[in-house]
Amino acid sequence: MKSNSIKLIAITTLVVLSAFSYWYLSRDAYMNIFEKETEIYTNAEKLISSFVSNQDLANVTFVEKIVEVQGIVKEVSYLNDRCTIFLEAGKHETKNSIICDMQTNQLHSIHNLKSGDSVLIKGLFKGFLMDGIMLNCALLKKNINE
Amino acid sequence: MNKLLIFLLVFSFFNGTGQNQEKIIARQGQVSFFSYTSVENIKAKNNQALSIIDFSNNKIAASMLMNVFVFEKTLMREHFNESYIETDIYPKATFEGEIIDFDKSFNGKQTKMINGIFSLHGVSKPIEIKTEIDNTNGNYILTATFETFVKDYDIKIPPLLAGNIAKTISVTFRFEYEPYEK
Repeated sequence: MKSNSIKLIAITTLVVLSAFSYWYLSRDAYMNIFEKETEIYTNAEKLISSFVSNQDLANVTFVEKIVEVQGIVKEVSYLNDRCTIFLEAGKHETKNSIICDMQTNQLHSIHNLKSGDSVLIKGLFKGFLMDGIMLNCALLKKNINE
Repeated sequence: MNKLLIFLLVFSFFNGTGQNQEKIIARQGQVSFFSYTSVENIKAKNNQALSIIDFSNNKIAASMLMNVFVFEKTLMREHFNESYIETDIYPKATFEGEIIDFDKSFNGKQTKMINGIFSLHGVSKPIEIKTEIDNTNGNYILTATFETFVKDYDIKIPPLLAGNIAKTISVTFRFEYEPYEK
């Protein structure tokens, strides 16, 4: 009798865990960045120089991390029906930048953003090609030095 | 040593070594892929692919981070990154090639073949892509759709999921270029 109860509990637990795992993995891939805890605080210049000086080390440090990055807006782009903010690598550096692919709910907060504005952006850092790439980004503050 | 040599070759391509070189760059190239089966359709999009064209020799290069692809479902993304593409081991896909018989001064649309080497998941294969090139007063847009075989890139699909993934994947890209400022 006791053995049957244990088996029943084990099977029930297994079924619940399987159902939860299936739900967890099949859920919508949308991630709300506001619900995620920031792992790294940095600025665009330091972030880019980390990759330029040692890409292997920077990959380990930053990739797939939730990052808050402070920087100067270089450009705002609406290409591919996306809203993207480019952050400068530094005053005289034009080659590299941080590409911030904004969450769709961010459109209202960035419509009057312009080149030269200082901003704080939170997002998921994905890696570096010629530019650093961040997805699921949200604008936390603008004109932070004023 | 080999790593250094590869780095220098790539660096020289992206930076240019000669004079009068004219290059254009796309930092927000869009690359999508589609897998159609009777079980499920899988599609994903990457909006941050990089490409450079060098007009001096009509060479073209493209590179993209594989973990940047956005999927509809978390499970699809996890299978793609962890089991199929193994993005922690092979984080990038790259293409290096040449636009054949390309006339950059031609204003309007022209269809050209691009021949080159596509590298994915540690495997490099020669491919030919029929590409539409739209030049509107010096603003170039390249678009194409081509098919590729999963087996060509040593991507292993578990038998249990074989019915969910098409053997042939349809890939579409759109690169909108701007002048490359060094």
